[in-house]
Amino acid sequence: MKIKIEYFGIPRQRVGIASEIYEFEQEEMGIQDVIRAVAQKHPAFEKHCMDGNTINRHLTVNLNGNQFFQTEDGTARDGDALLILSMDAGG
Amino acid sequence: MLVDKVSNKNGYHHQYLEVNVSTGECIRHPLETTTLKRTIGGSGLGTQLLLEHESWKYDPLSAESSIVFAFSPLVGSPLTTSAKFAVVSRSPLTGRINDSLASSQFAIAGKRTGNDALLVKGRADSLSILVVDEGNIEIQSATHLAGLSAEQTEAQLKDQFPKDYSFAVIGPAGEKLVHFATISHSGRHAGRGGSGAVLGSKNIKAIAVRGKQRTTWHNTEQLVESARDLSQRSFGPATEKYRELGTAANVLVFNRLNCLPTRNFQKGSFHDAIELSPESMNLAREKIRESCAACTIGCTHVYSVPVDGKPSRARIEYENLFALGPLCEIGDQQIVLEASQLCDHYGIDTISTGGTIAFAMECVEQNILNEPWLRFGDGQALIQAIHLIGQYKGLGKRLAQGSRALAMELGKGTLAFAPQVKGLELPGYEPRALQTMALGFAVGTRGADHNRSGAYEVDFSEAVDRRNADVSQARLAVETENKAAIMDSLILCKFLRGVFDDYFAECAVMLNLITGWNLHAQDLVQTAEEIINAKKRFNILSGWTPEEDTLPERMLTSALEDDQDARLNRQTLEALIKAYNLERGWDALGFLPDSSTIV
Repeated sequence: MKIKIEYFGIPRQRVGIASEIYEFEQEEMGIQDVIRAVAQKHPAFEKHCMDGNTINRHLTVNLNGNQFFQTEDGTARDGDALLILSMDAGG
Repeated sequence: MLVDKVSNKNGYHHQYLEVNVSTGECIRHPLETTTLKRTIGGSGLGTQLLLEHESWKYDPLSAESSIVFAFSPLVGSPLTTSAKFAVVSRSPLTGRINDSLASSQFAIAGKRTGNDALLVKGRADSLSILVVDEGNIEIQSATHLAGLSAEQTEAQLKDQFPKDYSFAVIGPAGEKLVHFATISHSGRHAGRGGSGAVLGSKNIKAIAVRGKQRTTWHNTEQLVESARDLSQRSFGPATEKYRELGTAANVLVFNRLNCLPTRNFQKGSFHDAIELSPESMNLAREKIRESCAACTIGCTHVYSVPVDGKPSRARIEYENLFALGPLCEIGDQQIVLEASQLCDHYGIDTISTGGTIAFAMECVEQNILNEPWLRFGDGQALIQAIHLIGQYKGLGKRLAQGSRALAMELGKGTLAFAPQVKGLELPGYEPRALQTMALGFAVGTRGADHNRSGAYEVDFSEAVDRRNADVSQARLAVETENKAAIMDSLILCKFLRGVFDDYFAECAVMLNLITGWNLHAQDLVQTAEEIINAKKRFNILSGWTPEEDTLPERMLTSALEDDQDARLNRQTLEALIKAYNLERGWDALGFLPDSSTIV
């Protein structure tokens, strides 16, 4: 399956790109597993955006512009977009 | 009136100064510890003083009305971001309570006059400077400052006064009583709700303060340690976004999630959002980063904006960008930066400016307002409209009253798409796409407001479905309001909120270290509730009705053009409001159980 990862704010600063496509052999995957794959590919992301095995508490993940996932896990499927962004939306 | 002896001055001077600028009469009023515990300072204290002075009775622009500059127990302490003050008055834009906050040396110098708050009422005979030099209060002529921008005014005052004075000033728009004029100081603004017009109506161009009166701290050693820890945390990941990109980092996120208000709230995404993002601006322009007084975060991003070949700079925040960009369908970076700079020059709130102009643009498009030059997407028209507002000329006189007043004047159903609640223009959070925030906007005591309600945080969490609100979200909205009420009264910057593990408990510790009180987290929750009740009480006394707690009709009858899943109806909003009111301990309509009690 193919998953599009879109980076916003600090994650984009760390990774240096706006988005990229990840290909996995599985037909579906836990969102947290996808995030760990991102961390594995981008050491700067792992260093600055992860807290151990999970995304740090100041960031959040959004699936296709709909549901947010931070502490809970969800399922990513072929064609999904995962947005990684700051938890704090204050302006 | 004599000030009662208090056993100590931990965090407070235990008095506030009332100045009547009509007569020059000054009164020092005592502030009892029980009052301070109930209100803390800032927004809470200011509201209490307005209630005591019965300010709800008076036209906000009349001589009888009061405006309060309220400091806080944290001002002057080593705690990061604590150099803040609240300006509290009845709003000329809404007729309801207004509290706008800002950070600068004015807070520190103001508190050193030996007062926990300054309350100004009356009207000077001519444009004046109110000088508070500890016990010496003078009203001096400011006729030489007439028409000057806030920046120019401060520059002149710095030449005129000794170096240890700090100033809060209004620009030309405040003098002209533009209903969303700001009060400025060191480039910062108490921006929302028109406090600049209230000061202007008193013929006060500037307040100059200095003093040597310091308050003490109950436990200096632990306070310094706590401050060091807080500063350290403020350098961490919780504030990284603000330091590296600024609040403007929201532009691309909100655009992607269809909650970036565009074309007068008709759409939630904007085709030129990338052009206005800090990511693009950082590549295209020189930028420096600045901090407020006593702040370790440094969220202010100042970009170069050459105008007519001359170098100049503009501070950029998400709200400026959204209101002067997508909301008016302007994608030209240079225009938006110039427009933002112009708002600072005249001393007007960028959100209300952009909101009112975007509304007027839609009225022109619908042939309801005969100003054919004022079109969505026309950058020069935006600039021209800002000049007209700031100079209070032509169409600017009508725009200067805000979108609600303009809609009421125009009629023809325009109120349905005037982007305001209680008269205050909506900030950059599309309510249909962020429905907990929609509730926060509807019930906000000062109108549509993202600073007194942080309900957008709920929408950006896994706790809710942001486009399908249910009544359980009312409790979450209440919690964000309670947090904001404490932050706005302590006062601390909201950008710190992410660093706390146990927010109310940690705030109680800080307050205890300064005051020697023995407050716990639950005490502060109760204080927050009392502060919000006091604001509600002010509104009820000033004529609030439950019908005011709503959103523009179009937001309750139409989905977003570019996101059909983002829709909200009246029934849902009313159910949310009812749940919110009951959660607050009010009746279902939003009246306080004791609303017959005056103060």
